[in-house]
Amino acid sequence: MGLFSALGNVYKAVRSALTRTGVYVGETADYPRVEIHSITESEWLDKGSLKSVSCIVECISDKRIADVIEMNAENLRRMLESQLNLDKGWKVVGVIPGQLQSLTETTDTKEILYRLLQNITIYVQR
Amino acid sequence: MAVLGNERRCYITSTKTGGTFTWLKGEQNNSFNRSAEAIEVSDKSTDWTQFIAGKKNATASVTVFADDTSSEPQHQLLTALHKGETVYCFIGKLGGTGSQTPSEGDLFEAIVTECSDTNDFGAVATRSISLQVTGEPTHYPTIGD
Repeated sequence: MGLFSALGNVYKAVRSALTRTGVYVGETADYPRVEIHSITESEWLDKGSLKSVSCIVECISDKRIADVIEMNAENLRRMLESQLNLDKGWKVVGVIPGQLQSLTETTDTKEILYRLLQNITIYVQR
Repeated sequence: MAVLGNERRCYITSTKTGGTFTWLKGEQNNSFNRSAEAIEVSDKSTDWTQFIAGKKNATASVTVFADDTSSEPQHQLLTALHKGETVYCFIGKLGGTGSQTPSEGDLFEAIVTECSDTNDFGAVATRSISLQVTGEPTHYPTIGD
């Protein structure tokens, strides 16, 4: 059992898989955008090198909810169908979409924001 | 001194006296159980029951994340179950990084009595293996005469 972390590697791979034209991905204040809202690496699942990395991928639009639904579907297609390319010996065992949460933020003085948070669990092994 | 369960692993080997120890890849946990029969030899000399040790027995069990690669040890265990053959295993700690010498644990010959797969949605497939030890296991550190 080593002292290896898969977090950075998975973050890079997910960010890379989500990047496409027409949508901002990552640190920006513009819309529509996709963000890796949070990413969490589990403790070791066995005596070898199996881990799970849970992430929440967020879609935000200031126009319409249909936009975020479509962006989320495209995110999932990219993460499930395209290979998440990990390096340093890490391999993806499986990508499991989980809970999906929709939020509509409305404030008197601000624009309406449509947000969709998709939980995804990625099992990795080195 | 106490030792972490992570360090006491299950290995497959080729002989009862040693060989190359290959870790059962995907292992989550294992257990090794020893028991001895208690034969009652009570008489009327005392109100308390008296016993002597009878036949001894040992079993082992290991839970792994299923891996059916033909070159991996799990396949060797499955093959042994199918063919009714024995396997040689070591459960314990090898001395030092890359060492092939047991420092503590039990080296034994066993038949595979159970191999159960569980395939849950959204989780990594697991496999539970039960072993019935045949003959005396070799304990490390060695048991004196």
